[in-house]
Amino acid sequence: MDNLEVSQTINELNIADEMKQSYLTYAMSVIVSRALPDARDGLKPSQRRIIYAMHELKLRPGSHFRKCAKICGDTSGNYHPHGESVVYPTLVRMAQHFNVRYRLVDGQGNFGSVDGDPPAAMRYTEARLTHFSMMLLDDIDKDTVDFEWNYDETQKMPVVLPGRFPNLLCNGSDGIAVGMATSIPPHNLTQICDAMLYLLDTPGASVDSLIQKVEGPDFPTGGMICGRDPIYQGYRTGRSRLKVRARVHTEDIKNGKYQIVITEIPYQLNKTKLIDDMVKGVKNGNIEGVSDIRDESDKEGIRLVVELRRGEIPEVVLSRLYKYTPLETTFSMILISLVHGKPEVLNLKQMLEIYREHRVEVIRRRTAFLLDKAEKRAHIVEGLLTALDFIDEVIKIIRGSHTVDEARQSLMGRFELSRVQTDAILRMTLQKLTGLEREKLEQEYKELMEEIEGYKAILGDINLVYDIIRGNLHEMRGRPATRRRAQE
Amino acid sequence: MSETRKNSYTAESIKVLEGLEAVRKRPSMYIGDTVERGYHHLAFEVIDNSVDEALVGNCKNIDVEIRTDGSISITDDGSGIPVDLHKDKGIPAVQVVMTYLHSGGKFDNKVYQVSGGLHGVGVSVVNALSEWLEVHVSRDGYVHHQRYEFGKPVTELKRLKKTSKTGTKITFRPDETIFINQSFKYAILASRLRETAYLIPGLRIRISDERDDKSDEFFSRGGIKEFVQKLNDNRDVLHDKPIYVQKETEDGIAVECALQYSDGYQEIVYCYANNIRNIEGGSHLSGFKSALTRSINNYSKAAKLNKKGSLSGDDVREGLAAVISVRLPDPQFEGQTKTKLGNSEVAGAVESALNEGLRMYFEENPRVAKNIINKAILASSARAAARKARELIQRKGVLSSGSLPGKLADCSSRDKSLTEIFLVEGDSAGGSAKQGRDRRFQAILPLRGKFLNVEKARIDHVLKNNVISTIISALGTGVGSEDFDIERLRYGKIIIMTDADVDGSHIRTLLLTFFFRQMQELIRDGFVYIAQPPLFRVKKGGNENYIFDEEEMKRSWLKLGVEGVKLEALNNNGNKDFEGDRLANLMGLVSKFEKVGQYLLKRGMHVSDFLARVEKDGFFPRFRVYSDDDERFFADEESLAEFAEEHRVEGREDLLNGNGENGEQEQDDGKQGLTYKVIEIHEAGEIAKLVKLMRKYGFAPIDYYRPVDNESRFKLLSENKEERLTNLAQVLETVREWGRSGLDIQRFKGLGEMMPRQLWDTTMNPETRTLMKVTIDDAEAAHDMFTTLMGSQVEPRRAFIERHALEVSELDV
Repeated sequence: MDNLEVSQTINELNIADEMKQSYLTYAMSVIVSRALPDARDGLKPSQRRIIYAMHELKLRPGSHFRKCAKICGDTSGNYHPHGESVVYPTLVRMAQHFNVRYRLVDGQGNFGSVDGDPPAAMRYTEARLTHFSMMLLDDIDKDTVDFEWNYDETQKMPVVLPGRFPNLLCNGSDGIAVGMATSIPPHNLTQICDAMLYLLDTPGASVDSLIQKVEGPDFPTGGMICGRDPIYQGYRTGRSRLKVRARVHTEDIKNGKYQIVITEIPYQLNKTKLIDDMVKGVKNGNIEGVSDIRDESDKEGIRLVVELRRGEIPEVVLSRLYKYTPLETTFSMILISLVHGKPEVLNLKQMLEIYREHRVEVIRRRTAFLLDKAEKRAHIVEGLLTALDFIDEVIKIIRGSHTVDEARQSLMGRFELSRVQTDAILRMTLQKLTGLEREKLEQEYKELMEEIEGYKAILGDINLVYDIIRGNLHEMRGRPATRRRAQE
Repeated sequence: MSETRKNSYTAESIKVLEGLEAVRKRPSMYIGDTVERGYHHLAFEVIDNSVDEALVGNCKNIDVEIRTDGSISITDDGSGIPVDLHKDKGIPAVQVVMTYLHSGGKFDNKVYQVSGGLHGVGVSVVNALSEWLEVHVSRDGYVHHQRYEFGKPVTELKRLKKTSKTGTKITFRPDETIFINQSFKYAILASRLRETAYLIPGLRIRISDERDDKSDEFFSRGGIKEFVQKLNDNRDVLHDKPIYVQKETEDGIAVECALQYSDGYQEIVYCYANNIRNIEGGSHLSGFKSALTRSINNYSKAAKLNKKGSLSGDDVREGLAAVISVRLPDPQFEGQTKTKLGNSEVAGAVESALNEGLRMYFEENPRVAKNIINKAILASSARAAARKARELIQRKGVLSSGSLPGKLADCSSRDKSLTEIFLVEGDSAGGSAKQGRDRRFQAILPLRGKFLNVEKARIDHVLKNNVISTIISALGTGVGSEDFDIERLRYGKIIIMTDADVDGSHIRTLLLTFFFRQMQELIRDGFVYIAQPPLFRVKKGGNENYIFDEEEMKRSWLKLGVEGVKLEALNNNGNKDFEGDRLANLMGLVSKFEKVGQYLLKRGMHVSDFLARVEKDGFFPRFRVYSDDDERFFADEESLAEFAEEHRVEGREDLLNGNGENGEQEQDDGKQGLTYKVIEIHEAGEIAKLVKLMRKYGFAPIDYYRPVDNESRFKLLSENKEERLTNLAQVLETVREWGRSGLDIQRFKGLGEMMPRQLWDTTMNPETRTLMKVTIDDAEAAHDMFTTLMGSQVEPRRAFIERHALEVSELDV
C-alpha cells in the first residue's frame, strides 16, 4: 500500500477552464438537444424520438393500440438514452387534449386530467399515433430528411421530421434551457394555413398582414386573451406577455342572486389549484360576496360555479377573482426555437418562412427520390422493350452461351445494354412474351416518361413546389374540428 | 563563436560565473522552488523590473509574449538597462546586471523608491537558470544585443542598428534540466499582469501566447476603484461608485483602498503590498478588517440603525468586494508562501486611514450606509440560522455512528496521506464505485438528489441542502469562516467522479462552485481532484480498451499501425528496413515534425519550404525577411542586422518590422527603398534538434515532406497490404489509417457502463489512473467565471454562451 502513490499521473487543471468547459457542455447540450424545439418540425428531440419509435412500431391511427411501456422502452433503448421515467411524461403530454391543441398521440386509458390527476402507470395505458403526427411523418421513407446515428451507432434516426403539419405554430412549445427559455403558444391550424397560403401568394407580405390572418394564439383550453396589442407585439418581435382569462358568464338564479359560471380556464392552469386559490381568496377576505364555490364539471366539460350572496354585483366579484386568483394568468410569449442548430428569436413571418423552406426542401428531396426511382425503372423497362423487339436473337444468344456471365457479356455487347438492364432481361419470365404484357410494358414506359417529366418540372420550377404546398394546406385547412377556441 | 567566448573570458568574469554557479546549484534558495511557482517567478522577476520602471514613470508599455519553443519574451519601453562600461567591473553595465548577483538599480534606493518586495534577487538569477537568454537594449541611439547561455555570455554586447527609442527586451528559455516538465501558464501570468495594470493606472500591459493564439491587453485608468468595479461585474451593487480611501503616512507608507458592496453573499478582499498580491493577507488586511467592523458598528450605533447588538466582522463583509494596496519602503513577508505581510506598522496605517475615510463617507452618504448596515443585519441573522443548521449537521452525526452520513462507504485507513474520497454522481455509478474500490483507502460518497447552486444562495440555505450537508459531514472540515478547519479534513484527496454526459457536467460545475465559494482553501491547498474516466471504448476483435483523450487515440492508432508492418526506405543510405520498435520510434519522431509544422504554418510557412531551405542553405533560418519581391533567411541576429544596415535608407528609422522588432508598424512614407518584414521563427532550434535525430536514421530533412511526385521513395508493407509513398508525412498518415481500420470506436458516456473491475482499472486505481488536480491559476478570472455562469443575472450568462457556443466540441444527445 505504501507504494501506491508512486506511478499515478496527476495533471493540473485550472478551475476557470474546467468550469468553462463543463458549463458550456452542459448549457449547449440542454439548448441544442433537450429543451428547445427545432423550428422546422416544432419538436424537441425527446418528442421526435417517441414519434419515430411509434412509427417504427407501426402504431398508425387505424391500427391497434400498444402499451406505453413498450413505446417508452423502445424509445429509450433505441434513440433516447435517458430512462423511461423521463420518456413517459413526454409521451403523456402529447396525448393530453388540454395540453396540446392538436394531439400527436392518441391515448387509450387514463392520461391524466386538467385537475392535475396523474396518468395511469405506463403498464396500463396504451397509445398510437394520430393523423397529425402521421402528417409530421409523411414521406419520411422517401429520403426527405437527414438521418443520424443514435447514441450507440446501431440505428439511424431522423434529424427532423418532414413536417407537413405545421407543428411549431399549431402546438406551440415550452422549455427552459440555460440562459434562455422558450414559450410558443399554440395556434389554430385553419388560420395558420391561411397565413401560409397568403405568404405563398405574397412573398413580400408584411408581418402585420400575416397577423391579420392568424389573429392570435388558440389555446386547447380556450379562454379569453386580453387585448390585441400584446399579441401583435409578440408576433412582431418574438417576445410579449399576454393576459389570459377564463371564459365566464353569469346566470341569474332567482331572488336577485347570481352565480358566475366558468366554462373555460386559462391554458396550463390546474383546475384544482384554481379552486384552491379561489377558496383561499374567499377565506382571507380578498374576495367578498361569495357564498359557495362548486365544481360541476362532468363529461360535458368544465363548469365551475361561483355562487354569489344576495345583492352582490357579479362584475365586482369577477374583477376581484381576476385580481386575486389565476382566473387571469399571464402567458409569456417567447418565440425561441432552433434554426440550423442555433437558438433564435423569431417573429411570425420568420416562423412561417422556415416552415415554407422546410417544406420546399422536403418536397424537392421527395421528388428527386421519386425521379431517381422512376428513371431507374424506365431504364429497365427500356431494356426489356429492346429485348422484346429482338427476342429471337436474345434467345439465340442466351441458348448459345455457356454461362450466365457469358450470356450477359454477349447481350451487353450486341444491344448496348447496361448491366442492370441485362440482368433484368435474364430474369424475364416467358409470360412477358405475350402481346398483352408487351402492351403493359409500353404503357408503363409511357407513364414513367410522364412521371419523369412531371418530377423534372417540379424540380425546375419553385412555383410547382409551392402549388404542392398549397394543395397540402388546403387539405389540412378543410379538416373538421379546427374552429379557434380562444378569443380576444 | 569561439572567438567571442575567448574575449569575454577574463579574470573578472570567472568570479562572476562562480556566483551564478551557486544559483544553478541551489536554485530554490533564490526563487523558492523549481516547480511551477519558481518557474513563473523567473518571468515575474523580469516583469517586475519593467514594472519598477513604470512606477517611476519611465515606462508606459509592457509586452509579454509566450512562445512556442518554451521561451518567453518581455519588452518594455522604459529607459533601458545602461550599456556603458561599469566603473568597477570594466564590462558593460547590462552585463553586470545579467551576471552579478544582487546587482541592478533596485539595490540603490536613489533610483527606485519602492520596488517589488519579495523579488529583487536580480535578473542575473533568471539568466543563470536559463538555457539561453537574449537581451536587447534600445538606448543611446542604438539597439544593443547580447546572448547568454546558462548564465554565461556567449556574445559580446553589440550594437545592432540605430534607433531613437529606448527600452529593454529580454527573451529567455528556462533550463529544462533544472525545471523539469514545466511550461509557462497563461492564466498565472495574465492574472498577475491584470492586477498590476489595476495597481499602476496608465500602464498598458499586453500578453500573448503563441501556442494557442490567446492574447489580452490590460489597461486601467481608474486603478483599484476600477478593479473593485470589475470584481462586481454582473452583480447588483448597493452603491454605484466604490468607496475610495487614499492616504500616505509620515513614515512613507502609502495606503490605497477601494470597496464596494453588492447583493451577493461572497466576500472578496484582495490585498497587495508593493504590487505583490498577499494571498495570506497580513497586517494590512487585519487593519482593514478591524477598521471596517468598527466603522460600521460605530455608525450604526450613532445613527440608531441596529438594535440587535453589534455586528461581527463576517456580517459586515458579506457581499463585499475590496482591494487594499499599500506601498512601503521595507516590506517583510512571512507565512508558508512568503506572501503574508509582516510589518506591524502597516496595520495602524490602514486602520486609521480607513476609519477616517469611512466615517466621512457614511456621513456624506447616509442612504448607502443604511443599505450596507441593513445587509449586514440580514447577514447576521442568516449566520445565526446557519450556525443552527451547522450544529444540526454535527449533532445528527453524533447520533448516527462516527458522525458520518449513512450513504458514505468509508475506508478503513485513517492515514490522510493515502486516503481519498470519491464524490460520485448518482447511485448507479456509486454502486460500481463501491464494488470497484480498494476499501482500505478509498471512500465512496454517492450524491443523490437536488444539488444546490451555492452562488445564488445564502449560507443558511446552503447548509439545509441535503447533498451539501452530506458532503460537509463526510469531509469533516466544517464550513464557513468560523468553523472551517482544514486540519480536520478526513481525506487526503477529494475526487469528483461524474459521468461524461450533460448531467455529469452540470453536477461537476455545481460541486466546483460549492468548493470555490465555501471551501476555497481545499482547492488552494490542492485537495480537490477530478477523476478522468476514459473517453472512448475501443474494441478490436474480442479486446476492449479504454482511451482517455484524442492524442492518446492517435498514438494508439500509430501503435496498432506499426504492428507487423515493414517500411522500406528505398533511397536511404543507411539501414533501409524499419520494423517494430525502430519503426515506432521513427514514427514518433515524424509526429513531432507534424506538430512543429502546425506552429510553422501559423507563421505562414509550410514545413516543406522550411526544410527545403535547410537543405539548400545548410543552416536553420531563424529569421525570415521578405518584401513583395524578395525573400531572405538569416541564421542569427547579427547577419540580420548587417543586412538591415546595408539596406538602410537615409531618414528612415528602420527598414524592418514584424514581430522580431517590437511589432512596430512601418509607415509607407514614400521614401525610396523597400519595406521588409521580419518574421522570427522560434521553432528553428527545435527543428534543428529533430533534424539531427532524422539524420541518425539516415534521412534528409526533405524526406519528411517531399512534394508528391511519381517516384515512390517508401514502401509500406504488411501481410496483405502494400503502399508506395513519397514522403514520411504520408507514411505517418498511412500507418495511422492502418491502425484505425478494424477498430470499433465508441464514445463513452456513463460510469455505469463499466464493470466495477474496469472502473477500478481505468479510473480509480492509483497506479494506472490519471487525476486532474484543480488549481486556481487566476483567482480573479475564476471569480468572474463563477459569477457569470452561476450568478443570478441571466443576461451575461446568455452572452457568454453565445460567445463561446462554437467552442463546444462534443455535444451530448
